[in-house]
Amino acid sequence: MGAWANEFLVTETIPHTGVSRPASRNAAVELRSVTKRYGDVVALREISLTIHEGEFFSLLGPSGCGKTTTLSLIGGFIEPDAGDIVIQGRSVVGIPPYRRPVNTVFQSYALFPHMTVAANIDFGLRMRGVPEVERVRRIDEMLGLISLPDFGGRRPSQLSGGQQQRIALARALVNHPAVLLLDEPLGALDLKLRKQMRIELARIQREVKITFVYVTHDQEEAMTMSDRIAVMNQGRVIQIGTPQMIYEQPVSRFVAEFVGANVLGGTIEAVDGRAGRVRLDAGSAITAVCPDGLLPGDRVSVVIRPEQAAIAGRPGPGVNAIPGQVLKASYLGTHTQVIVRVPGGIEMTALLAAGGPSEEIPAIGEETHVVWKSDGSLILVEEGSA
Amino acid sequence: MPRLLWGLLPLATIDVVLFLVPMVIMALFSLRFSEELLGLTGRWTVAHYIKVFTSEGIYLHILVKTIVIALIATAACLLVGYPFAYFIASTSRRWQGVLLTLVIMPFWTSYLLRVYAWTAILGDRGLINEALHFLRITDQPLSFLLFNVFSEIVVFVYLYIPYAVLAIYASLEKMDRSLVLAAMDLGATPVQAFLRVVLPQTLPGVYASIVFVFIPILGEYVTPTLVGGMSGVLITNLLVNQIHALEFGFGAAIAFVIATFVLVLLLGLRRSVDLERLYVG
Repeated sequence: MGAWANEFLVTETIPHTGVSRPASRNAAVELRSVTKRYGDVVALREISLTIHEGEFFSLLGPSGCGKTTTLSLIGGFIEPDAGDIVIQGRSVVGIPPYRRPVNTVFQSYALFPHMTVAANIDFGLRMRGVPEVERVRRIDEMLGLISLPDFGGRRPSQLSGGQQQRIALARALVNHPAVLLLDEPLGALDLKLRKQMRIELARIQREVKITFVYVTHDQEEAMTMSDRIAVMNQGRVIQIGTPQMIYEQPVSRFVAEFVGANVLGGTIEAVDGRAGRVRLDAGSAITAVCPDGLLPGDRVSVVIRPEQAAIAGRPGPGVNAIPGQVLKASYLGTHTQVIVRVPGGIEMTALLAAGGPSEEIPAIGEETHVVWKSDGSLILVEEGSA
Repeated sequence: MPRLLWGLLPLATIDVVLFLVPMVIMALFSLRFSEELLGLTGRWTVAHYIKVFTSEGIYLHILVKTIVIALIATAACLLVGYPFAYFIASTSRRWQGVLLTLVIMPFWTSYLLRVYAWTAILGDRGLINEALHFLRITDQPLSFLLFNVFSEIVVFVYLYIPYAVLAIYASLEKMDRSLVLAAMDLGATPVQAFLRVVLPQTLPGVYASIVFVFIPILGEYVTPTLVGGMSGVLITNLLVNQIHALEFGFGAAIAFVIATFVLVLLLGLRRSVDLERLYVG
C-alpha cells in the first residue's frame, strides 16, 4: 500500500471551537510526506501532519507505530529518507539537533548526573551563550514554574522520579523552544503520580504557551491533555482530531479499539435509507445508522462505546441485544464496569452509570444481554487491515 | 560476624604470608646496615634512602626519567585508547563482543614473547627496515627504531593499551547514551557534548586506566631490558642490579621509594575521583 492508502485513511478534522484555548492557525511543525526506513523495515510511510502553534498535540499509538520515530525526526536525531520537515516555516532537513529551535524531554529524563539541578537547567542557556545575569534569572523562573524553587543545589540522584521529571521539563523549556518534544515522559512514574503530572503538564503548557508534541501509548493520557491527537499505527497516521472526535467518530476499527470501544464484525443484510440491518458474526442481527453507499453483503465493523452499552436480562423491543455471560463486574463508584462474553468469544465492555436504568450489579456467570440503541453505535466499512 | 571472619581467613592468610611478611622483611632490609651479605643484623640506618636521593643524582635522575616515560606512555594509551573505546561502545552489541575479544587477544600469548616480537619488528633486519629496504626508501637500516626510549614507549603503549581501552569502555558502557542526545538537544555541538557530558561521566574510567597503565609501567623490568637498550634503562633495572649484587638493603630502599610515590599518587587520584562525590553530592 502506498500514498493512496494513506490519503484514504487520514481524515483531518477541524478542532472544535468550544475549547477554552483557541489554537493559533500558524503551523509550528509540518511534516510533508515523510518516510523513514530502517533497513528493510519502513518505520514511517509518507506521514503528513501539521501541528499548530501553541497546541498540545499528541502522537498516540501502540509501540512500533512510528510515533517515537516521528519525534526523533522533528528533534533532528534522525533524518528522513524522503519528504520534508518544516519548523516555523523553515525546512530543518539536514540541520543538526543543536541548531534546531526544538527541545526534548526524554523518556529516561537524561539528566546530567554530574551536575546540580541548576547546572542541568543552565546547560542549554550556556550553550546558547545567554549572559550570566539572564541565566540566573531564568533558572529561578523555571524552578518556580515547576514548583521546585529550592532544588537548584541538589543532584538529580537525590530527587524522586517525579521531581526528576519536572527538572527535565524545566531544562527543556528554559531556552523557550518553538516546539517542545515529550517522549512518553510519564512512562516511568506510578499511576497516582502520572495522574498528577498530567494536570501539571497541561498547566505548564498553558502557562508557557509553547507547542507541545507529546508521544504516548496511553489513550487516557492523550485524551486528558491534548488539543488534538494523531492516532498512528504501522508507520501511518490513521486519524487526526480532537480527543472528542477521536473518541466519538473513530475512522477505523483500529482507532475504535485503541480508544477502548467494543468492535464487532458483521455483514450488511439490508439497507433502508439511513437504517441498516447488520448480521453480526456473533449471530444476532442488529440495526444501526449506516453511512451512505453500503450494500447488502458488505463487510462492516460495528462500534459500540462502553458507556452506550447496557445490560438487560430480558431486553425490550426496539433495542439491539446480544446474549452473553457476565465475566466480571467492577464497581467504580460513578460507574460499574461489566465485561460480558458474547458468542464468538468476544469480550464486550459496558459502563453502567450509577443510578442508571440497570441499578443492580450483575453476578459473575449470569446469563444476560448486552443492549444498545440503534443510534448508539457506529458502522465502519472494513477495509482489510486498517 | 565471626562467620564472616572465617570466610576471610584464606585470603587473609595469603595476604599475610605472601604480601605483608615479605614487605616487612624488605622494610627491615631497607633500614638496616650490615657488614655481612643478606644480614638483618647490624645497626638501624636511613643511609640506603639517603643514597637513593644522593649518589650524584644517578638514581633520582633515572627515577624521574622512569616517571616521565611512564607518563608519556600513559598519555599515549589514553589518547589512542579513549577514541577506540568510544568506537567500541558505539557499535552494536555483536560487534562490541568481537572487538573486545580482539582487545584482550594479546593476553592469550606470553608476555615475554610479545615484547620479544617487537625486536623482530623494529630491529635492523626487522619487518619495518626490511620493508623500507625492499621499497628502496632506505639503503641503510634505520637503527633508531630499536633499543632506545622510543621503542620502549612503543612497546609500553602496545602492552598496556588493552587495560586503558577496557577501563574506559566499562565507564562509557555504563553511561546513559541519551545524555549525549540531551546535550545536543540543548544546543551542544558534538565536541561540546563530549567535553561537558561524556568526558566528565567517564573520568572514573580514565582514572582507572591511569592506575592500570601508569603504575605497572613504573615497575616494568622486561621491556626496558629487552627493547630499551642503554638509553632506556629504568629504575627497576637499577633495582634488580642491586638485588643481583646482593645489596638487598639498597634495593629495598629503591623499591620503597617507588612504592611511596605510587601510594601518594593513588591517594591523590582517589581524592580527585571520589565516586561518591561525583555522583551524589
